[in-house]
Amino acid sequence: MATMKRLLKLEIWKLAQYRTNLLVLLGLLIFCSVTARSAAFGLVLTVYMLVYTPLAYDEQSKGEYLLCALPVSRKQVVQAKYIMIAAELAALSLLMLGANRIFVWAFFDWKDTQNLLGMQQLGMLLMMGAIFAGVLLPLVLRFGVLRARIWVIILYAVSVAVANGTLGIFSPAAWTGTDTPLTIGWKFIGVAVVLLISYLAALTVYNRREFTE
Amino acid sequence: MYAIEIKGLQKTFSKGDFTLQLPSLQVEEGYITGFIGENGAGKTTTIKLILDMLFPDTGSVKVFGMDAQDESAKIKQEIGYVGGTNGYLQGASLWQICKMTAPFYPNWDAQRFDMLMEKFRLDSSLNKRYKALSDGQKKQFGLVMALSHHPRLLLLDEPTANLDPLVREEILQLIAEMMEEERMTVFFSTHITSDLDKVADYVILLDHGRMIFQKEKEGLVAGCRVVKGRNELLSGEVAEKFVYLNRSEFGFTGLTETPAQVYDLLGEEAVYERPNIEEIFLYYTKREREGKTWRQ
Repeated sequence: MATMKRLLKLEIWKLAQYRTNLLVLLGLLIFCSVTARSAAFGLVLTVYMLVYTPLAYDEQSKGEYLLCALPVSRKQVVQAKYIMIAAELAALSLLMLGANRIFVWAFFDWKDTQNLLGMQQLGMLLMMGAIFAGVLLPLVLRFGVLRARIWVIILYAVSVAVANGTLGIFSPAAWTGTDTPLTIGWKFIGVAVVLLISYLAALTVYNRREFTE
Repeated sequence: MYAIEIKGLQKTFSKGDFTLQLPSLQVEEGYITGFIGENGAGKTTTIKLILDMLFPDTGSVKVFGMDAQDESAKIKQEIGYVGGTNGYLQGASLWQICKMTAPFYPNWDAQRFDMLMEKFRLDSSLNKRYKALSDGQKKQFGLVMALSHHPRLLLLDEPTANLDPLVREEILQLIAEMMEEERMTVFFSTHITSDLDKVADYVILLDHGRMIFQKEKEGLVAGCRVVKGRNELLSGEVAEKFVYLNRSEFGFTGLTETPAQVYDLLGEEAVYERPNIEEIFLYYTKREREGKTWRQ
């Protein structure tokens, strides 16, 4: 547990190196929270940056040498990345929820559910973020930031298409309809399942990764 | 128990034609072992195998009796690593890097960190960003970080490459001092062999992925001689006694492992000099390159 905390701190230090860019991005995220559907765009963009930034920083600084010299296992490195992304997804979603309430209160009618983010929309946002991070992390951990970038784009498009086909994430009903507590609950369970499957895939590929450069 | 023990190791890279083969390599605990070879000989690959950054195709790598792959995290508690790249966050200050890294090591010694920073005159640079340091300062800082948790094994991958002689001297002096204090094991990969003349106890020579020899340095240097003489003295029987020979119109120069036998044949007609590690490195490497063709 103590090692995990240290690895998480290390991840936060890496993000802090890009604090100016991240502040701009958070501003954009808040701005995107004005409507439920633009929120999805803002979240994916921010999650992309949050996942990619520490990994890109590692690649630029040859951070694998530090990670490989530290007394931590590969499993702990992967676990730290997933705990970090789960926490980031939750924090971003709550931030958007809060920002959206303020926007709706200031500019829209409370009865206008088209623009109001609720638990159902929160579930959808988390699902989109989880699919994105779930596809991106194993690829980047296996191939590195540069080699993985094209595959990330292709596979993300495929995953979103599959998620839309099975869950209907782009249908208006998904964003404006009123789910029952049960279906909302399933969305949150779905997020956990996506991240768990992705974690197992990432662990398998990272355990086999060799640092040749 | 050896600090590092490699058995039957083979590692081939799919993209290149390079294969590292180490049938048997042992690093004695409590001594400085120099690991020499030209660029691309396989020194960094060996160190990466020890650090679990690469996996062997066959064979085993053990550190203090523990498997380098299975018990990687436990092993790294005992290792201090200084390489060409240390992987520190470029934009972080030295103080931040210390704050980030120190908690991973239960044996972290803040007093030693301060003492070593002062020794390298880096104490006034604690708030400086890592990327703002010179190459020499980066290596010095890497060494400070590696030594501050009292490692049993210090892995140095070309620690003095591209450094000016003063900084190199300071680094070597510190390594020697730490050895005296703690009897830690140092595995020192370099192609600057003059560094090893100063500090090494054992020498391992690698060429094109193959180990040429591993020997105790004093015995190696004392047992060899560089012999210089006129070409007329060089019969087939004499040439057989040499590891390698350079011939020119002015005479020959060669390295022999059997100076007494050469003396019996050439007597005072030839000149006998004690070699340094660089000369031994060059003669053995040339012999490996040219095989037996140099005798013809």
